[in-house]
Amino acid sequence: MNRSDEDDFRSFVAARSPSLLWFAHLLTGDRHAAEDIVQTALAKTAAGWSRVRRKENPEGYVRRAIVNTHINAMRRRPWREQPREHLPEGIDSRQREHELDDRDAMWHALAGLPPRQRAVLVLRYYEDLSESDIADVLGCSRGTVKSQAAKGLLHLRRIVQREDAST
Amino acid sequence: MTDVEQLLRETLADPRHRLEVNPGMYDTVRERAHQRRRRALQLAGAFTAVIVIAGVATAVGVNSGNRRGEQVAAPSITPSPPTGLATSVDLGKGSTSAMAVTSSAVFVARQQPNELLQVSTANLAITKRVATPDAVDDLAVDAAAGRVWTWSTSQAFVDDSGQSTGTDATSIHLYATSNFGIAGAVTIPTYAFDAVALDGQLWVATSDGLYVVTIAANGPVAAKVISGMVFSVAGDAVRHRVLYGKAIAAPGAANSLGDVVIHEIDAHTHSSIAVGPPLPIGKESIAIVGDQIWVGGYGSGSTPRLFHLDGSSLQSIPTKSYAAGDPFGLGPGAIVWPGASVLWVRSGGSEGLACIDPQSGALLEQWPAVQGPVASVRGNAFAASDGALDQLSLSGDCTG
Repeated sequence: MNRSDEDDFRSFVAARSPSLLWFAHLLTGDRHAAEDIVQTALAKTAAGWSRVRRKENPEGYVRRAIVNTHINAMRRRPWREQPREHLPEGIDSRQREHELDDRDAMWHALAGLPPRQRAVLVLRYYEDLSESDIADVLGCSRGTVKSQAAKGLLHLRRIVQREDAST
Repeated sequence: MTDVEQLLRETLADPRHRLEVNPGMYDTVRERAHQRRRRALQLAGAFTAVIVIAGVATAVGVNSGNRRGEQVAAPSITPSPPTGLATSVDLGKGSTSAMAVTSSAVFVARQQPNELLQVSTANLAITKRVATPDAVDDLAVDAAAGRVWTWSTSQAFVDDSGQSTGTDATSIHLYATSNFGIAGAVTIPTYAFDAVALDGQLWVATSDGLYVVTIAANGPVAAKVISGMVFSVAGDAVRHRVLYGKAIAAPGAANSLGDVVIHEIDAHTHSSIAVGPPLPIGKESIAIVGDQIWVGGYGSGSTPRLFHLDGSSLQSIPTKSYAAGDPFGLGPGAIVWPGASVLWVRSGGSEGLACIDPQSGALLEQWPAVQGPVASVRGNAFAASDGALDQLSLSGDCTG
């Protein structure tokens, strides 16, 4: 990386890291994992930064790297959905003093989704990407995006409804 | 837009999920970029060396062929592949979902097309290939009985019109290794996460309990042994015991996935033998190597991702634990598989594969670029990525 690219990359990391970390946190639900995949994705991007910086949307490129890094990292035998019968209690002790509000319930319900399903929902409802764009990011068909979104929403609906019923 | 969609949108946009950026972020990224570059150069160098050696060997072979009648001694080039290299076998179109190995064969489940392959460990040739009735999620081999168990899961889901269709189910098939014919099938009305073959039975961890599948006179029969969601299961062939993991809600836990508790039961009487303490990980996997028990999983912060458990009490013993920031670099988590005499660990951070001494926890060998699940017998180890089966080059103390 030449000096100009280095400066540009440093500026990009400084300016966009908060947004990228937020995005990664939504994908992973875990602070440490979010930091790890953002660092990994940026390290992968650094090697080709002179090329990436000329793209129309360098941040979009990095976000795609974050999604793929996360899904690859979570690849097991493959990943199986791990639905929660009961929501784990909150991370913050203050939350335990009160009933979990709807957003907290939704946040914890997201933790039970497989990474690809969760990525579809984050890209659709946070990034506002179209089904075609999501399919492009994840390297799958539009039909797969539709079915993954439907499965994910059904899971979330079940968990949130169960929580509503129990409170 | 439904209420759930609106709530999801609000949750994702909730500023509480914004994270503070570590001041050393840029330096860390640059260091990791340099590490990646060094690793790529090492791998490229090793690959080039093998190509050059192969090229020399080929050239000598061609030349010897041109000299009719003249006996030329074959060059004694026996390169020892550097750590990190693997011999790769192209499996063709499709993706690999699971793999298991015996001393003579590797069994590989593939999707799109849905098929089951048998690959010889002697020459890595595909010796059997059969279409499977569904997309196999995972498999287990019972070498003594000459059986391969496969299972496929399906879930209820909402179609585009908003109607819920389908049911949660796990379809289990039993194949004879002699001819790859289906020897039986059974369906469990729940969703499987993990399974293990032990003493002629298949133990299945599901969203609705731990099941055991036995072979009855008219085919396989499934029975629930433990209720509640069970995410992981492992078989202790030496002591004829089954270990399984159950997630528990953990007040104040740093890990948003809660904690997991490992249970041990007798494989025949199903009676409880031991219950371990809560471990601060989720999405766990259990590996039993000889009489050594290891559990890997995903966690938060600097807590360990890999635990060595005492075989009697299931208490964590301080052999050597690896946390996110260790040189081994587990990152957010660890996935474990049992080898014949070693523990295999895949890092959730670097995605690298490591061979670990199950007694001491010492790192024996690493493969930074080998993907997918891994399985081994003594002297032979394999990993399966989507398009290929990789035979790992074992050297040093990693015996497979």
